[in-house]
Amino acid sequence: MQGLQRVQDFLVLLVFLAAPVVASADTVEIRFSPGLVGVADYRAGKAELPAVLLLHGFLQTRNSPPMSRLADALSDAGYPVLVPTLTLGVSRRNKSLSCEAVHKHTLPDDLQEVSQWLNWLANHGYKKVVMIGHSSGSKDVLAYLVDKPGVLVERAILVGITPIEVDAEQHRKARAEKPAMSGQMPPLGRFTVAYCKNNYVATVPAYLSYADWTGDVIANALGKIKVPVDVVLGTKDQVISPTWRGQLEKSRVPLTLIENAGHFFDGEHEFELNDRVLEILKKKHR
Amino acid sequence: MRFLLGTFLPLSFKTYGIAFIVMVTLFFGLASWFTLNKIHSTQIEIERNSQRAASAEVAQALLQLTKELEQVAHALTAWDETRQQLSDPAYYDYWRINRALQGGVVPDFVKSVALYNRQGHPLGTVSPDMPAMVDELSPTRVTKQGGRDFIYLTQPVQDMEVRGQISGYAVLKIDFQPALLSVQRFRYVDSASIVLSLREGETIQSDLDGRVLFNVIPNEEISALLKFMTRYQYQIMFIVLLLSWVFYAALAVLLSKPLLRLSKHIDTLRDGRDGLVLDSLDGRFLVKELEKVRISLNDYQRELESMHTSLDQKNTELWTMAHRDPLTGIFNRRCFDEDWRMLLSVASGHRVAVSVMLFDCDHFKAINDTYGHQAGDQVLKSIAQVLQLTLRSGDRLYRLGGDEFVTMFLDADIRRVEEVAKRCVEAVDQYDFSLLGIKEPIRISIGLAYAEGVHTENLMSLQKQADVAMYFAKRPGHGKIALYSEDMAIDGNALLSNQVTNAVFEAMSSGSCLEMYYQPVVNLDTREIEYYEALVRIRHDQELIMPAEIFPVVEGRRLEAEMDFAIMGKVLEDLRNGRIPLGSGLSVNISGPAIVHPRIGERLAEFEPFLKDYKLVLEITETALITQLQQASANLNLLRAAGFKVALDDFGSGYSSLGYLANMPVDIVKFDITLIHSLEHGDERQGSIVASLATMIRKAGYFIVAEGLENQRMLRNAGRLGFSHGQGHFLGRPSRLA
Repeated sequence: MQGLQRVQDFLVLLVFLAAPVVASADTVEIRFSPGLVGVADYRAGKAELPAVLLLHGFLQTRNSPPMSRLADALSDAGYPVLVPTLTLGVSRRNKSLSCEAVHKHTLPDDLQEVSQWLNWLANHGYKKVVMIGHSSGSKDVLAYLVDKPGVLVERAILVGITPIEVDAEQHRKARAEKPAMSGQMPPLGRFTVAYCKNNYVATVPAYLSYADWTGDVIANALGKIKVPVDVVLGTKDQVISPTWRGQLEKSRVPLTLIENAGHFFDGEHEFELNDRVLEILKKKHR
Repeated sequence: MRFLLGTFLPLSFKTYGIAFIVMVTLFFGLASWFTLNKIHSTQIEIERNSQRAASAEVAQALLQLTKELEQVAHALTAWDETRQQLSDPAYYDYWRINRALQGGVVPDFVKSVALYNRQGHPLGTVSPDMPAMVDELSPTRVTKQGGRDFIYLTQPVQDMEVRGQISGYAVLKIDFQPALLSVQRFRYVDSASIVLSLREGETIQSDLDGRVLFNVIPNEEISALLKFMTRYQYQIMFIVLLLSWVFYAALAVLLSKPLLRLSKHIDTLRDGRDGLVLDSLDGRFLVKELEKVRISLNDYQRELESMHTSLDQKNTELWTMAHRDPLTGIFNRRCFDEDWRMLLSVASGHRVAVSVMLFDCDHFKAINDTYGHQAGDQVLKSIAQVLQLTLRSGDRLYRLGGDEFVTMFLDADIRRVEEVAKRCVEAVDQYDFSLLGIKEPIRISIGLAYAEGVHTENLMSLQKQADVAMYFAKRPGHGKIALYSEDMAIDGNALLSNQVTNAVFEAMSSGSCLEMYYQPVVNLDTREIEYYEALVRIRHDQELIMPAEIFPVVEGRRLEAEMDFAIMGKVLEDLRNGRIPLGSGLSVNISGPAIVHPRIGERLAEFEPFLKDYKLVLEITETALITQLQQASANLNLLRAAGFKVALDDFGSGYSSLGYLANMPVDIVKFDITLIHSLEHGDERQGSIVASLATMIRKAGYFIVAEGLENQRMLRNAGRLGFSHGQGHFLGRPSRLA
């Protein structure tokens, strides 16, 4: 309750136009802690439609595709849309964070911010929220739903979900070092995480918070969550290994494949992604 | 001015050429100097402009740099990671070392970055070159470290939550020069030369006005252009000089040289001597006008040569006319005189033998009178022809006039000259003059003179000597050839003496100084004086001039008739004055010219009144009679008819032809003294001939007179030989009659 109050206290709503549904997004902020302010784009939508919370991928921002364009499409379709940028420890972050930057942020930190953005939606009268994540953002959605299942989120759509790529040896070593670091400021290390090839500068705990979400963990989480989940994959997604795709196909999670689409659904596949997501959303409410 | 022009002008073509080259060189030199000077001033102006442009460029660059640094500082302070460090500086050192400069936010000219918190304390470790603390008032500083210039720029970092509040500071260490070069591409400034005017370690505030030192980039294009123009000027100079010298060479080859050749050729033509004709001026000239002059000159020269040849021919003709005797074709007196002068000039001062050979035709006048002038001319031509053939081919034969010829020999031995003279005499003797209708023998006499002296006077007297020698050559007993000797000098002197000549002329003109001497001619039978031979003397300055001196002058001057007439006058005067003993007789010598003289009859007619009282005898020399036999005979016959007796004088000294004697109208024959002397001194045969001759003539009815009786023995011999009369010193010397 106190957190909500803080959110309200620090909520700054910037409305430039008394716009229609398709109007430009409003920038909204939440002060998560002293010196750390989170920023999100908010577009109001039809009241009968659930609000949609879109989460970007690894180290990206709310302006990164395909979530930015999907936000436009959903907004165009009348859905209230909120697209935050995870701070990753940087107040009002508005650019992708470099691999070489100091990465102290952890997956729980991200989930805390997601939780506050969901509260923001609830505080703005939204009773139903659909969470859509892309790539690592899908993993955040999944982790949040496993960690904090609530009544607000009625559905999750995981676009391009995949276990984050890590170096197995680094992962093993980090896991071995972690207990020894308790109580002291952990040193920075260089790791391979996703597209950061051995240059992801992070503390071991921060590293492990993402690296521990292996394929098995994700598959297990998919089985645990209580809300309906849809998975959308591009058939030409190079980030997703065939093993992982096969693993998903064997699970009971509905899988939507977009032919020839890559990991970021470039070009014409952008519209196809938008259409599929809307179809999934409409299917729910029909 | 006129003096100067007169002193220095005219000048040669080459001088004008050199003057032209000097003027052209000076003109182009001045033009080049002016151009180079202009180029230099332009260069200075350009450099000045470049300096201004460079200063403006630096000022502009500093302005740009200020803006750029503001942007860089802003980008740094707005960077997520910067703000992340200010909010959580746990890993600041990693960030400062690994991210601040490599995060792609600040350009390379930012050499160091440091972050400070709101209180101005550094977020972590501070490198030594960065400030330990900062605050809001920390100015931008500029300093020199290690020879390089650095700008320390302090930029506050705005708090993202509370507007107007500072969350910290960022300090950037900026390498000035690369920073400046990153904002400005210099066109006028040598970027490598840009440096701030600071001492090592010196720190100043941010105002860099007047602190930036730089070098101006030389404008390569302008420099290249100026260099090119300068080089071009020198090239032009070089080309002008080269062309000038080519022009000079062309002038020399095309004009000067041909003109000099023409001038030399004309000079040579002008200086030509004796009709010397040069070759034509060969070799074509390269200049059309000069070639035309050359051709015209050659044409003119040819015309000149033609005229010269024509003049030569005319001169030759004139010379021939002037120097050749028109009758005989041999050289004339004028030519002789010229050659003689030439010989004198050549021989003078050298010991050269010179001989003069003088020819004279004996009795030519008589031949001329007898056979006519045409025959006489033919005789002269024949003699000239014979003599020319007899002489050597190179010897010149001259006709001095009348029947006189002469030749001369240079460096010839006198014996050989005498031999030549003999051959000449013989050649004339042998010539058949009968072809010309001449019955009488024609002979020549030769007078020779020889000198081997150095002095011109000796040579000059040769002609006179030859003349004297000729006189002697004509005398009986000299074999027709006489070489002058000192002995002949007296006669020669008489012949040539002006004193004698004057006396002769005076005597003939007035007759006052003529003195008549009379030598008795004695009848050898009765021993009585039968008549006197009138002998002339000339009294001159109390001296008596004898016939030996008188008659060479008379004969040389061809005054025989005049002298005879003068003598006749004196004799007539003596007759009238009664100086001649009554009952005796008187003989007068009559020369050849006188006997044929038209007035002889008139003159002798004055004697006719005395014929009744006196025996008047006209003595005529054999030579005189023969040369004009016909006329003489006619006149003598008339005189004989008038009562005069005619005596043939000097019989035996000339032809002594009995054939002639038979035809001569004479009454008396006077044997020459040489015949009479031959009786005294000659051999028996000669005496016998004379005796026989005397006998034969006497028997033919002539009275014969013996001359030169000088003693009793000669008188006795004359008597024995039948001479009717005698004459000589033994019988009576010539003397005045009272």
